[in-house]
Amino acid sequence: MSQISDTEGRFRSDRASFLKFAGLGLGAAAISGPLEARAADPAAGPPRKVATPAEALAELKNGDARFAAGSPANCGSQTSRMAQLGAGQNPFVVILGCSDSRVPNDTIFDQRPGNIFGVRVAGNYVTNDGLGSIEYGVAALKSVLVVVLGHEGCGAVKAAIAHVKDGTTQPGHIEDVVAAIVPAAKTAKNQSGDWLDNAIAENVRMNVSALSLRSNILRDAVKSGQIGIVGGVYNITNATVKFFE
Amino acid sequence: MSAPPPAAQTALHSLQLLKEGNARFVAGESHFGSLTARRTELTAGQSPFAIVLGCSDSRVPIETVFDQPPGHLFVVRLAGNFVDDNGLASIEYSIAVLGSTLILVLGHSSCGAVDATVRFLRDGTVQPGHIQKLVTAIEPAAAAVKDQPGDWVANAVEENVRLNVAAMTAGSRIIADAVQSGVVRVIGAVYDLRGGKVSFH
Repeated sequence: MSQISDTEGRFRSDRASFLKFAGLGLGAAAISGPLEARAADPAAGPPRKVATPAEALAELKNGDARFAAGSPANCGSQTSRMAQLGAGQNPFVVILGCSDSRVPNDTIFDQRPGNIFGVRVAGNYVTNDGLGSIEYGVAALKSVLVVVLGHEGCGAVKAAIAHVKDGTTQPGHIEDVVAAIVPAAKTAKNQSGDWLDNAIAENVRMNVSALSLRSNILRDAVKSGQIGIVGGVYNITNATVKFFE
Repeated sequence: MSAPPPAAQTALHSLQLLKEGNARFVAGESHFGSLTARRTELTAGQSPFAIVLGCSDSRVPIETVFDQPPGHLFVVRLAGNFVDDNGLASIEYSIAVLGSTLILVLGHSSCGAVDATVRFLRDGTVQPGHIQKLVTAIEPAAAAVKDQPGDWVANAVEENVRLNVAAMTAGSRIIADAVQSGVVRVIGAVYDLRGGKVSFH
């Protein structure tokens, strides 16, 4: 994995190396398009909490540590912030997470409204509409970090493993989720250790890659240094997120 | 250890919990801070009482605006809170496997995805990359309210919620059957960014 550094070169490579660098040498660095004209007006919405991908990741880690310690700081009254939020949003991070009720992104990272642009689907995989949403968070709202967040005991990944193991199929559209995750389940099949844990991690890694493979906007934003893309897995038992670094 | 029991057993009770939670949020009296004790229980499983299809907008964090702890809400989020096949699959999972009893489609005021759709219809503004897919998905709602009196975006937000409430049962046999049997209800609502209040349809 390549390393990413911000334009001012302020960040040590060890801190930044985990940020997925997907600069494949394609396209111009600048993001262009009609949304640019509507990019976050500094006067609208609360100011962005952080300015760089590395700072964004540090903020998420600190928030998760507060949540895991049972001492969140941001869960109280938001009424004073409400008027600002009525004017606009400047989320610092886009998180592609699972629909699982045990992994509420804003809660586990102890973030206030306005900080996290959230895309959630069972199995936290990239869909075309999800990609459009993530691109909006990056191109229009200028978020600086994109996180793909898997979690311990994911039911969607379990279903994909059951499918690989013995051909179990799910009713209705649920089988679409399984189909999306089967590649990760197959890849993890012969890895040492727990199949489920490995498939959860593999599913995150594959979708981190898919973001820049499938989106010119995201690829260019990585290349220009606007964003970093990083994967992580949430442990429900100890409430800690392990980022892939 | 088994999964914690659902906080509500019926669609009606589920709706009541959401309304009460939102009232606490609006009043600045959210309950849920430290959840250390509950986490051990949640390792065993989940029993979310409601499913919320909401927008990715950072100003509408679902669990926060309804003041619900981890384990209560199964959440699908996409810019523009519309349902696609992947979202339907997630929702079906929560109905068929987890036993949720309420599906809430939650729009919000000043939605950027709806605004982009109205601009597309007004002057042909096209969004870059996959973002235009969001516009395509919301276009029917925006077109339907074009000639209504009042604010086009606000009307389109309401219509987008209504159309996606209808799309739940139209697009899914599992959801349609659950609704028909009386176990599950699908309702729409709109969140007001300025006051934090959710208005249920």
